Amino acid sequence: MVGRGAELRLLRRVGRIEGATLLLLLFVAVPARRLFGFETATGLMGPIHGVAFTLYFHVACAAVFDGRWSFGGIVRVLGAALIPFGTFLNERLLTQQLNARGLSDV
Amino acid sequence: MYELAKLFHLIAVLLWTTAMLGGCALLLAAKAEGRVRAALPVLRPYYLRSGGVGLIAVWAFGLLVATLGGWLTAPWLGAKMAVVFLLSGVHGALSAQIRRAAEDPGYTITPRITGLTVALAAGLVLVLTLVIFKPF
Repeated sequence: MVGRGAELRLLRRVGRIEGATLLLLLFVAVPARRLFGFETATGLMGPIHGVAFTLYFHVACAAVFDGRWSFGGIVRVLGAALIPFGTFLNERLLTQQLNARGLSDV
Repeated sequence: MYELAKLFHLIAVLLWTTAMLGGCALLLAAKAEGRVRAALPVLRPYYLRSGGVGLIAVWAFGLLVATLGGWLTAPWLGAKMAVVFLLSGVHGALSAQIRRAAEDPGYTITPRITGLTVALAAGLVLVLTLVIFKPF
């Protein structure tokens, strides 16, 4: 059984992966390609981030489309994947949602 | 190899879209008629399995077809992938609704289910249009 708490905790974990791959792509792979001509870096990190980005969007939609989230909250969760550090900054929001529903934060 | 990848991609598309359209129909029916909810726990594993496998296979074989066919830089394919990305989100939302409604008889199915159904239908029409006409 996948409870509501499990969904939000999964979103938080996938958000960390998505956020980390975005940072690696932007701050490691892209400079490596531009500065040193190391094209494999973006060739590798691009698809990895693509998979993480799609997975995050899938899990986020599963978590937020339940009629209990405000429009602003949905935009914030979905939009976080587009901004560097966005998913990390959203962790507080997800923790608040867990606490507001009386769900375990672990 | 290209034709084989295309065949598997089409099979995956059929599996995935059938699961999603079936899921929408089931949730709309369950929302309108309480008795339909009894079918949700029975149908849930089939939906989650076929939809999940379909989603992964659509992306895997789709990217393989695009690579083998040399379509990766085509603008229409970029637009199609954006729509499929959004449909992946619709699939996530539908899966969660079916899971929750099947597990908890008291769970209120989201009023956004109608909007999700419209978004799914519009997305599928858009994907077909892009694939068939390749407008740009």
